[in-house]
Amino acid sequence: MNRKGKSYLFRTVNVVFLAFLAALCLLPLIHIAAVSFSDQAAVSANQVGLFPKGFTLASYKMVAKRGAFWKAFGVSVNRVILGVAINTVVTVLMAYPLSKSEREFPFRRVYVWLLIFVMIFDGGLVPNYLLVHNLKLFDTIWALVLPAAVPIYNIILTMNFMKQLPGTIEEAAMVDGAGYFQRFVYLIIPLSKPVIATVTLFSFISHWNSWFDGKIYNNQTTNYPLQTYLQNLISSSDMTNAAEAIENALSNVKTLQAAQLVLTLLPILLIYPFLQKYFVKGITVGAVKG
Amino acid sequence: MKKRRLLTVVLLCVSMTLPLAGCGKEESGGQVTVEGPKSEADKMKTYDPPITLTFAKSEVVTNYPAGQDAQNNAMYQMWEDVMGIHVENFILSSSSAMTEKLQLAITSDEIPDFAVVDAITLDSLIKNDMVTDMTDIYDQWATDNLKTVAGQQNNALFAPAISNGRYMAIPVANTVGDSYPILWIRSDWLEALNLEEPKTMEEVFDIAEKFTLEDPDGNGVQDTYGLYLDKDLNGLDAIMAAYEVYSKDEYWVKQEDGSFIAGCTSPDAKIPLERLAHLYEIGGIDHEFAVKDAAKEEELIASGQIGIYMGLFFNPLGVMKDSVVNVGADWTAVAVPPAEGYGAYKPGVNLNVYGYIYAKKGISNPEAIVVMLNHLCDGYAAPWLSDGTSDFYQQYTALAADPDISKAGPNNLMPFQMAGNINWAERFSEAIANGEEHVDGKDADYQNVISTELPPELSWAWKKVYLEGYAVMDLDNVRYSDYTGAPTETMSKTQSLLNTQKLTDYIAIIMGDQPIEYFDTFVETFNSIGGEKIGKEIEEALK
Amino acid sequence: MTERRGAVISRNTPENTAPRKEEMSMKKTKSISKNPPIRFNWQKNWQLHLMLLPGMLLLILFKYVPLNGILIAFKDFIPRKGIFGSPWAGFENFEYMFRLPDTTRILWNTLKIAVLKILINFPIPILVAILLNEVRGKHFKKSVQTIIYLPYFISWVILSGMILDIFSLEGVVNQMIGLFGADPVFFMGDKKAFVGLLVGTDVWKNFGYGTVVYLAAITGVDESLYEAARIDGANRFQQIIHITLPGIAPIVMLMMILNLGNVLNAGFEQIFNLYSPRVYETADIIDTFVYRISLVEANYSLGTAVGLLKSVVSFILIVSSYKLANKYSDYTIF
Repeated sequence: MNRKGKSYLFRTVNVVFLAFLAALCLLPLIHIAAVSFSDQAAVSANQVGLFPKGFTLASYKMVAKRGAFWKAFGVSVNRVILGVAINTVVTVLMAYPLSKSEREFPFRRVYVWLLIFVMIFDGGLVPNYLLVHNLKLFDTIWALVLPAAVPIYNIILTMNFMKQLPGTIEEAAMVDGAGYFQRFVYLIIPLSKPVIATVTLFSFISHWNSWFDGKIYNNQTTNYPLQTYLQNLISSSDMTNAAEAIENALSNVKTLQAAQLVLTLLPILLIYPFLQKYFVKGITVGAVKG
Repeated sequence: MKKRRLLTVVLLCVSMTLPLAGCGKEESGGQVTVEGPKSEADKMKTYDPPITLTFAKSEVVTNYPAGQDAQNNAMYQMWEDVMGIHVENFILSSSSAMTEKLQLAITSDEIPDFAVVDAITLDSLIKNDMVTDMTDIYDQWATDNLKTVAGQQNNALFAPAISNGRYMAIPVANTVGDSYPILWIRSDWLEALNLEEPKTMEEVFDIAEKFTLEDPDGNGVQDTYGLYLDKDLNGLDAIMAAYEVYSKDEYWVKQEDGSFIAGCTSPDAKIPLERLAHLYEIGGIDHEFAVKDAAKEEELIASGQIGIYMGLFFNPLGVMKDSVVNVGADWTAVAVPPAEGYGAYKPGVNLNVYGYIYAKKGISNPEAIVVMLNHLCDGYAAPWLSDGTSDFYQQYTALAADPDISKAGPNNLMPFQMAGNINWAERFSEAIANGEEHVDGKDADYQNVISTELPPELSWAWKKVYLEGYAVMDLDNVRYSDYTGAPTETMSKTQSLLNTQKLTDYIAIIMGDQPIEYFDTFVETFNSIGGEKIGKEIEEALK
Repeated sequence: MTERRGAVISRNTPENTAPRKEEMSMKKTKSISKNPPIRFNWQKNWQLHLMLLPGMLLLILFKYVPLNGILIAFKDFIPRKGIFGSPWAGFENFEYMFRLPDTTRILWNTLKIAVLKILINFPIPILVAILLNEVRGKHFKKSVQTIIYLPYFISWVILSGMILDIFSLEGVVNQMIGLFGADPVFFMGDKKAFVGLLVGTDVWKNFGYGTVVYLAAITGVDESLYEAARIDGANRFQQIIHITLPGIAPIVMLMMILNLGNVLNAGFEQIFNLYSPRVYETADIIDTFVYRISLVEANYSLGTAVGLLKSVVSFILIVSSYKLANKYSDYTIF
């Protein structure tokens, strides 16, 4: 086979393989979506495959029609906007100095190990709880946003990425008299778009999905973020009165969990493609090299 | 050098802020002296001016009446009107998160004035010296009715609240019916195979075998299982009790010589285990039961493949009703029969409580807790004891009739609830026969039972639950573990290992990986890990 | 010729331009005074410190201050007295942990499962990222990228039910095994097969996550290097081996080292939702074991002691692998 033929074969096999992987990942999700739209008796007996059985929107209605759901949704939106903004700013601000070489920035090692140390060692639930309590942050949005404000893993990723950018770019700017901050804002950040998009995504997902801190740092259920609210909904469906019973007749724990998952995935499905355009090949760095 | 300086600066900042996350509060409230009630009527008094008590509320209601929420609703208002006690929700949390939240609240030393907690949290509270000694207060302030309900079975419910012989909290009783085992059996299968309801445990096993082998659903395929069993061995204890073996976790049985053994090590357990092993062998138990939790195994009930289910009275409302929809099944409740040669069936149940109510150490009106319980007892938990004359009772009934409140669940809107023991089957059947429109004390459920607007399988379920499930209960004939107090030293260290050992070995015997004689080895291992030591510690503790 | 090409190419990766030459000359001039050339004047560094300041303040407050909780591991923690007021217990909690009958087995299980996961989770995202990078169709690439990321979000609670069905004695997988004439495997209940199940499902759930990171890294590789290679006559495959892989090597090593820090977290959520007494012998890990103990009585001291032990091991591993990586490669990992 000639070279072009080989290349064509490779590409076809590649596409088939990747499609297979995608299917492997997609099928369970289709099943879950089907469960969320199915009648609970069928789900109860595990009779739902890839298509809903006894199509009903009951689970979604049950989850979404309560005012508390939308309140929790609002809390989560707030939390994500604030949290991701803080995380991203902190990440790039910290990654840049740490990406400088040892010679240029002698203290860098100290800072890096300070970060790594505290990424691994944690005081545990009790002191974190006590701290947030003593700072009087309970039942506020800050309890959800500040403790996680410094995403160390993301910082290290970004730092590494920035380190790999050719030093010549900054050298050229320095000759023109640009200081650290200017180089940071006008050169490094635009060139770091892929990694910034990545860590923004990670930060978004982390905030959107987290439910444990919402549980322990709030003494009132009205301040719960979405995931905490959904977790509670499932564990407290009340069986003891007629109206609830009729409402609940068409949904059960499994369909509710499925509906919860679908609702949770929707924003991610929206954000991810939006961020993807930053993952594409960046500016041709080579052109600056001259 | 510069690096070291930087590091020192950083560490200095850290150490200066350490107190923020480390200190618990130093001051503790002292013991407050409380006067006794001035008269019998004083025990059900209304505080004037009203007092405020903070509380930890488990939120269960999901659709409040318009304009109401967990703190401001008709029920909370009624409590204040009737008792003069304003309950403030210091913590509002879902019931599943409550234990953890209270544990954390203990670490920050900011617990509510009162709350209904489980035995483990109560143990923490007692150890941390955060609760008032209620012995005298209960003795002086509790009405006779309350003492009947809370003190049932010779004050058995108080055991986890006892420290140094004193009552440190009061049990909030629940009906023992909630945990009374019931034998649910496919009545359509009994009919198809021309079988009678079992009168002995041996017959139960026989029926299970027939259900497996004789194609009761008539589809020509052997796809039916005689008996339900899951990886936590749910339902097994009910079967064991027929042989006077009390195999529940953390269940201790006093022997004739005064020593204590774990119920699951009783030698009589070999008999039912052997029959279960045989049943498994012929395919009467799902061969994958050992890896499926209840939610997963119950799928087989919903799909109509399981014939016998050792459960509780409210099971029809769960997956059983789904089998009605899916395959047109019908179930009937049978009283769990004794085994041949053994006495009348006496199930081993856990302490029937919603939890334990404590009064925080240092509050100025700890007796208000007992007053609250008195009102609740006469007005809601056991109104038959006072013939419905209490103020609380009348106001509660009036509010519960309101459709909006009824929809939200009046008992769940209240701060907390309590329940006495009564056989609802008798009461409900009587009410239906007399054409009564309401049954006080359980009206929400009664409405469901008589409703004609529910989907058919729900209607079926409610009737089964109350008219059949309850009917086969014998509420006076139950037994508790002979030790329900605070965990002993070896218990804290090894109880979870013991539980695991029992599960592993029981399952091994049932699945046929080990012969029945292995049971003796199991007992030896169990005792050497800690069973024997705990038995001795219990003996000591109860002297 | 290829070898020489390879040498040329690797020396031209971004890491090895101007700064590296400076470092080499620095080694020779170590004994000379510390005055660096004007360009790297440390007086200008105050800007860098300033940039680090807000993050460090937050870090100190929310991460360093709560570190005092580690003391709980050495105390008999009585919540009322607080961390500093509780009586000192020295190493009692650790002794207690090691004296429990199953400790060795559990530690071994934890290590074994975690190492297996790390080893198998490691190459797959790299492979998939490279393959994805070769795809030309933009829409296909984007869709696949999004789809493979999704399993990461499904909780193990929901997954456990599906896994049970797929891997049950009559499930799809065993049916396929049956086609080859073999006996059905009791995945969920067999001590050995269960570990394989754990690792396999974990890879499925997480590979999309790593792929995202590596894809971003691949886009960061200098385009001009590929051009140069193409001019020199290297085919796609050679380009991958000699440009892409070395180009993302720093990130790969970084991820590897960071994952090593996770070595004692063998996946509580997954194992807790899938395991049963039948597989405790090989699947019971530190976290599930401690969880069962704390069901009987809330014991913060033990939980903290266990956490501390895990952290110490993680730290040692990270430091060692970091030093090893530094020694054998051209660049500092962090």
